[in-house]
Amino acid sequence: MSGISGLFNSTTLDVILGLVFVYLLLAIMCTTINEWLAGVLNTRSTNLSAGIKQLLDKQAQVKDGDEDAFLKMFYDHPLISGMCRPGKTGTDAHPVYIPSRTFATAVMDIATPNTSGAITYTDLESGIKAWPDGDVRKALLALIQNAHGDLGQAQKNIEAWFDDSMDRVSGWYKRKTQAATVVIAIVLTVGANADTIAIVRTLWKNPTQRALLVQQAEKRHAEESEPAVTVKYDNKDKPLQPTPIRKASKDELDALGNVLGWKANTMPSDSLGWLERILGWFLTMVAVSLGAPFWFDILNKLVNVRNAGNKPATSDTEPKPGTAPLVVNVQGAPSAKTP
Amino acid sequence: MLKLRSIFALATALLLLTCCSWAENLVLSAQFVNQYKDKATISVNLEVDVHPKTPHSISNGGNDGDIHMSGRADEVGLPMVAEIVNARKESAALTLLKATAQGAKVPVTGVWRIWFEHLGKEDQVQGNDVDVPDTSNPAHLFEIHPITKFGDDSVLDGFVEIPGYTAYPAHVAFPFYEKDPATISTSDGSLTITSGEGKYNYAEFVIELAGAVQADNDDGLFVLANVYDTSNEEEAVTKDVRRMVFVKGTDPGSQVLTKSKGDRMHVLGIPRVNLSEVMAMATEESTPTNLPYEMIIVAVLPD
Repeated sequence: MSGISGLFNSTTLDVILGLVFVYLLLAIMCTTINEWLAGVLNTRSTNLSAGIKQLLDKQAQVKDGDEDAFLKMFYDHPLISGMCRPGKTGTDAHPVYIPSRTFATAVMDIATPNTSGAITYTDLESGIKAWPDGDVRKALLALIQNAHGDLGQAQKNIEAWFDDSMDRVSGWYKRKTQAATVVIAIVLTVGANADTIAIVRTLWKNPTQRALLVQQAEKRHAEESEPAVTVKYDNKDKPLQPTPIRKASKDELDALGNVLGWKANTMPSDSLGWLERILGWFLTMVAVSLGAPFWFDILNKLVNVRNAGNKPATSDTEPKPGTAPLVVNVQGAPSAKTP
Repeated sequence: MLKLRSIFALATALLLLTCCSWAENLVLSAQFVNQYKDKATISVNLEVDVHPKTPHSISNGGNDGDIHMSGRADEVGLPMVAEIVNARKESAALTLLKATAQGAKVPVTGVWRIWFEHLGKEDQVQGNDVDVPDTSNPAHLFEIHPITKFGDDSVLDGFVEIPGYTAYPAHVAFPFYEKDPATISTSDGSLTITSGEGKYNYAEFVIELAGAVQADNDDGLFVLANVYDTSNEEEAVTKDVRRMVFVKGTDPGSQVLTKSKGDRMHVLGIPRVNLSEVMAMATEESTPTNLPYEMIIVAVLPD
């Protein structure tokens, strides 16, 4: 026990805490750049548009007609056109999200153009069968045939078809985001010369820099009651209208001054030095790719461990029950309590 | 030696990372969140799976006199339980529950409640297939708690003091509620909340109304209030006003309608995630924050 206590009260923990704090700040920068790029490039709406095109193209409305006719009718449908951003065109106008119920309702409405009032399963089936052969016709007929004449089930099947497709779209988006995160992490790591090995070395050798980073890390932890994003109620008579507030970022980056950046006197002088530098960059890049929430959570846990270690024990030799470092690890364990 | 220490530091960090990263993701449909974020209650057709024969005993903690049942509802699409408070008062509802066969559907209305108390080992994604629970208390983050109507039986009269029950005092419960860490993000029509284990189900506290009571367009009443411990009604235990949720037709709901700004009430409440605040703060960027919460007022206690 004394060995563990020694570790958690030692320079080692402060070095780890400082390193985690550096990772956190870099990960925040990485996320910010990634989200900015996603916004500028309309990644979400582009993916959704591609997913819908994959579902609804290759379906003419008359024999030998335009193969994208159904897709155009879908986007012209008031339920869908009403979701597009006004004053924009192309992917700029495309919604970033379409509920599956709206999708199914629009598709079923397009399939039953001559039916006024409530439609029946027969209306839907005959409407789809009236189309010339095409991918959408085949897909929809397969979907509604499994509904066994139940219109509600047919709609659910179409919704499920859309949802399955959207899962794929989400997968595309995640893969693109992950790829972008890695690229941004590489650029950021090399641009800032964020070499994990050099950072650890600096923190180990330089108690002032170490203390500065630990101080900033603890400050961030202490501000947990003032989260990065919170809301307030501008009008206390209207509890149904919370207003988001974004807190201004702090000057934490100043604390990174001596551990990041390109400096002539820290340039590697031989190939072994460059190898070590590349390894350090690689470690940083992997760490940054884990994301800001991950490192924020770790930071909070480490500060708790550090503070627990600093608290006086109930006796001179044994730590107070409940303040041992491993206590922090129970978060998330399944509860045995009743509701 | 220096390099060895550095490697040891990194290895220790990785070990800690592995140990400390347990928390659970709840992924909700944004449509669902928008539908219910400013509503007190939800109505579902609950497929009742497992329930105990008798209500909990009454003392403190989980021994709260509730009876709960696990079940599934298409309207929710998440593992869930539903609970009747003060269950011993509700003999008709208990009789119906006992007569309900496993898998039978019962219309249930009650206060929706999301709280990260009963975490499981997997993320909970709304709309995914829900396994049939084999206990009355499976891993769940969604509850209907308290129930206000079970079958045709109104149980609104259960929103009163639980005789013999000792709730957590405000000075214990609220510091936890105020600093419960979470991350929130939204994307592609979904909202993701990640948090660790929540606790302190029932808390006893004093509220001072900070504004007017506002009704939703259903059966909910909402008011912002400062929160005080019963032992210190001078210093609020919350950093800012918190939203209180009442149900029309209950004793607390009727009493709050007679109150105005500055009035105080001694109440019993349970926390739930404040989806209205969550939605207001959610961005595509995964943001660390404190879990936004509000209090469901279950009973007005004697002064």
